[in-house]
Order: sequence, then structure tokens, then C-alpha cells
Amino acid sequence: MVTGVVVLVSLVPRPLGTLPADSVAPYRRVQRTRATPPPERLAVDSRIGLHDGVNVDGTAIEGKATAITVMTPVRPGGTPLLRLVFWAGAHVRSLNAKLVELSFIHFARWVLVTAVPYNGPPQRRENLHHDYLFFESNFNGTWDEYIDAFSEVVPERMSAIWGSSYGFPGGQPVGPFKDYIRRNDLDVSHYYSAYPDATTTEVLSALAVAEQFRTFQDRTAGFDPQRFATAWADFVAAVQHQL
Amino acid sequence: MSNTSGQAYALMVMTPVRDGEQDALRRYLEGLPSGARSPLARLGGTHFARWLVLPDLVYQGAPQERDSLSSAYLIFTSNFDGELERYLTDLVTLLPAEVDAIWGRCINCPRSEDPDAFVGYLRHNQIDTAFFFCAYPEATVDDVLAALELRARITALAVRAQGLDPAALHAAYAAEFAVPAGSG
Repeated sequence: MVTGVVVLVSLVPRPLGTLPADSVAPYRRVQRTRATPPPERLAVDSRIGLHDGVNVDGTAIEGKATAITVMTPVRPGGTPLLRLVFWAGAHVRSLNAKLVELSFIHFARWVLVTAVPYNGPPQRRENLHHDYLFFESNFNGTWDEYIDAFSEVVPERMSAIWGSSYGFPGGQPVGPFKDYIRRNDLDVSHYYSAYPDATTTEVLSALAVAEQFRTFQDRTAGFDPQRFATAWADFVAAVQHQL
Repeated sequence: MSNTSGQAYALMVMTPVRDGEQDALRRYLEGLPSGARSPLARLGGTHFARWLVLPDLVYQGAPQERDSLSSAYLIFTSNFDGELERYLTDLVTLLPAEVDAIWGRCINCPRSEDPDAFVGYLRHNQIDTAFFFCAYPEATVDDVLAALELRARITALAVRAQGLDPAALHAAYAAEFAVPAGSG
């Protein structure tokens, strides 16, 4: 089991008077927009000549959240190695810590598909030559920024994970790595987020502020206005960079 | 396997789509309303979820041996709060029409009128997660929404309170957060 480490990204403190207007607006949801695929993506796809039906026509976006879904064939012998990488990632926590460091991933997962579930006829049993590595991520920011960050911050981990997949060009340089992920990025038909307008950093900050506020509330119950005003100023100073 | 992280659960279900239903299923999913009107908004505890239809596997070129699926597959993944059994029961109970319109296009899937059978079908087709990452594994959807809302109110008060004298500040705070006035 992965133990979560909460690391808050320290933003540059700023005087409250300069808070942007939208930071005080009540939290709200927005309608989903369908991203237009960048031209380079289409060019890449047509060059590679994907077979019919494998999606490549867009990126699922919900508010600030973007979905990525990748499924790649694993080389023979790769699955036990991957299990070891993930086991180490969970227990040594290096992978987890690196993902926290990336700071814009809400949830991500890797799944090893070693067999396709069978439900009896008329389903035909799948006899695949390979195991498949399924990856999904829910992150804020653009697709390009995301892959750039993966490539820059954790190239060796990307190699440890996708190195056992066919066609993986290496985590760096970023160009071929992007092409590879793009080529294998599956089309999402419906994407949902419960808080589409909040970035990962905003969620972490809000949770931290909420916790400190509860302590503040308990501590200041019964304070007279003068004492309260001093405590309030201290509280605001302490959480200012998370507001 | 690592389907959980803190209180969060990573679900992945992969079910075979009946021949001829693939396009209709994709159109149905793409036509679902988004955001707060998504059917998944009615399924409490869902942080992020997605449906996708996998028509076939991507071929990477030699030396990989080409794999082809015998049918299209529906993949559903969700990152949600708490227990799997409760979540799947909520899914079939709260979204029966969508469940039948979506998984009803999959081979041998029971209808929503038989919730136990439907839950059993999804569990049979569940694929375990090898590595699950959550940035905030102990926070439920309700925790996140409440924290975002609280932070917005605190920020608004902090902006408004600049320049207020202690009595006015205390009154504004008490009004905003409904606390009894200080006993002084």
C-alpha cells in the first residue's frame, strides 16, 4: 500500500491586497470542453499509420483536469520486472515521492493486464502474445507540459517503467518520447472530475488550510476581539501562501 | 497488487462489447452530459473516472508480434472513496438507466434489476492495479470540496478584513463562520 506524502508547493508569498479576483470567487464547476488536437499530433499520427479504430483524435479535458490513458505491449519477461519496480516504488517510496514532486497529478495508476477476463460465449477468448501495461493519469495542465515534466523530472523512472514495453524510445529526448505516448494514448469517451476547476496544488493547499483553520477555530474560541485580531493576523500570515 | 492508497480505491473494469454495438456505445458515452450533470456526479465519492472503448491494441511494429482483440472492450476506471462493494452497489442502484445503456451492450452482463449479479459481473471483470498514486490519499471527495469552499471563504474574509478594527474583524469572523461572539 502506498503511503501518501503531502508536500505543499511553496508559492511566492504575496500581500493579500494583490490576490487575483478569481481566488476569492466561490468554487464552481465548468462545462467540459473538448480539446482540439494540435496539428503536430495529427501529423505524427498519419505518419505512423495507425490501424483503424485506435483513437488518436483528441484529449479528454474536464475543467483544468486532463486525462491520459496509455496501453503498451510488454516484452517477454517484462512483467515480473515491472512488478518489482512497482513494489519498490511503493515500499521505497521513491516513485511516490517523485510523483508528489511533480505536483500536478491528482491520481495516476499503472496496471499490468496479463489476461483479458472471460465471460463465456459468445465472447471469444483472447489469446494475446503479450502482457499489456495500462497507465492512466488525472492531472492539471496541458498534455505537452505533462509529458515534458515526466521526461525532465523522472526520465530514469520512465525508462524503468516503459523500458520493458515495445517501441519505447527512452524518456529523453522528449520528442520521440512524446510521439510514443501520443501514439498509444487512447481516446476517452467520457471523463469526469468532481472538482474540475481545482489543480492538485490547490487541493493540497485547501486541505492544509482547512486543517490549520480547525485548529485556529478551537484555539480562538472565547477570545476577546483584541486577542482574536492578533491570532487572526498570525493565522493569515501562516497560511497566506496557500490562500 | 495495490488497488488502494489510503482510503482511495483504484478500480479498473474491462468488459467485452457485443459485436455491432461498439459505435453505439461510444456515441452514447460521448453524448453523456459532463461536469455536474454527468451521471457520475450522482455517484458520491467519485474523484475522477472515465469510460473508453478499446477497439483494438496498438501495434508497435517489429519485433513485436501483432496482437488483435476478438472484440472491442469497454474500459471503466474510477478513483473513488472507500469500499469497492459499496461503490459498485451504489453504481447499479443510483445509475440503473446508464448502467443498462452502457454495460447492457457488453457480453453476458446482467441487467440493473439484478444488482448482485451486476456487481458480480463487474468484479469478475476487474483488473488489479499494480501501482496507485494519489496526491491526497486520505481526503474524500467531500473533504476536498469542503476544503476548497472553506479556503475560498477564508480568503474572502482575509481580503475584506484588511483595515478593520478588532471589534469589526471579530464580528465579521463570527458572522461568516457562525461562532458565538467572544466572552471578552
